[in-house]
Amino acid sequence: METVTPTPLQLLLGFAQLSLQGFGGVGGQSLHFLTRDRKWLTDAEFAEDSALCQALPGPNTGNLALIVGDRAAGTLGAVCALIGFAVPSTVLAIFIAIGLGRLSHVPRVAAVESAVVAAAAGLVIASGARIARQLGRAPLMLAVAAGILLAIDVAHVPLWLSVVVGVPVAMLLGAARASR
Amino acid sequence: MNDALGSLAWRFALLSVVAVGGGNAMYPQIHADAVGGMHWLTDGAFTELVAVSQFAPGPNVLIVPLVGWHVAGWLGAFVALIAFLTPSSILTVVAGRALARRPDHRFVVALRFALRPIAAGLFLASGLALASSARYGVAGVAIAAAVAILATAFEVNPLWWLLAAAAVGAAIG
Repeated sequence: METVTPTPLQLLLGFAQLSLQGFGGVGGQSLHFLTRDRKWLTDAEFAEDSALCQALPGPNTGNLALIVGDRAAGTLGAVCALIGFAVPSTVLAIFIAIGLGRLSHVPRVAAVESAVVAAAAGLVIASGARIARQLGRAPLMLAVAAGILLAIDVAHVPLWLSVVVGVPVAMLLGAARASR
Repeated sequence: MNDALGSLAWRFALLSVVAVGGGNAMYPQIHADAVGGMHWLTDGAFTELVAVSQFAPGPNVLIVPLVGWHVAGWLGAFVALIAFLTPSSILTVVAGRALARRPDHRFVVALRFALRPIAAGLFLASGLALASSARYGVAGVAIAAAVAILATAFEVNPLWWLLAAAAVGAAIG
């Protein structure tokens, strides 16, 4: 899979577009946008980079913008990508907050909002399923993915703790498999 | 006003370094700070800003500038946003460069390989949690499941699935 290297301006505009087309969070859109639409990352790079970005504090996709921007064009690229990611959507959200203050009690508005959030959840699940499918030949890695899912959604282990425990476990299992 | 801007900056800079998991994971902490600790807004106003941060296009961390805007207008929004983004951004760029400098080191190779199943698990966990937070009953579960299956099977722009869901929501009412 061939990838292309964006310029700072392309980073600014690209992450503004990604951010503005994200409903209920940008996570569900970023895989398609970065790997298929713009070809800035391969599937494998996306999986590794987005896991790193979720392990670090801060907005997940904002961190991804920083990593992609820094790799393509250094500090300027990172700053441009982050501004594109954060500023246009902030301005738009404040205008929406001003306008929605009057509409928020209309039932149909609430129903559309809930439906969109549910669809956004489906997109995030599809992103996870696509990465999990690439792990198909490594059952131990699938078990790690399932363990993370159960820890967070069933056992309500804090996310930082799940990552701090999960990463070394996955590294040990990977090393054990490689040395066999 | 300057006091409000100063405490906005301080609170959100502190939140920045512990905000693992992005926007959806931070709502309880922001609620504790903004409603409980600082009395910046009421429960009702906070709930409305959370709804906007979910519904408005953009990242879930939009809740940060929205709280800043509620406290001190446009200036408050950008003070909160910059205070929140700066510490975590420096950490991310430093960590990214440290990993990129030694791409073939055994530890880095093992770490990058290990991060894939973690990402898969985090995405699945986050999607399922978001599906249950939509508070839309059977219709919400059906929409989330349908989009998850369709988006895995057909690679089209995800915006189409969101628009289709909005139309279904408007039709059900």
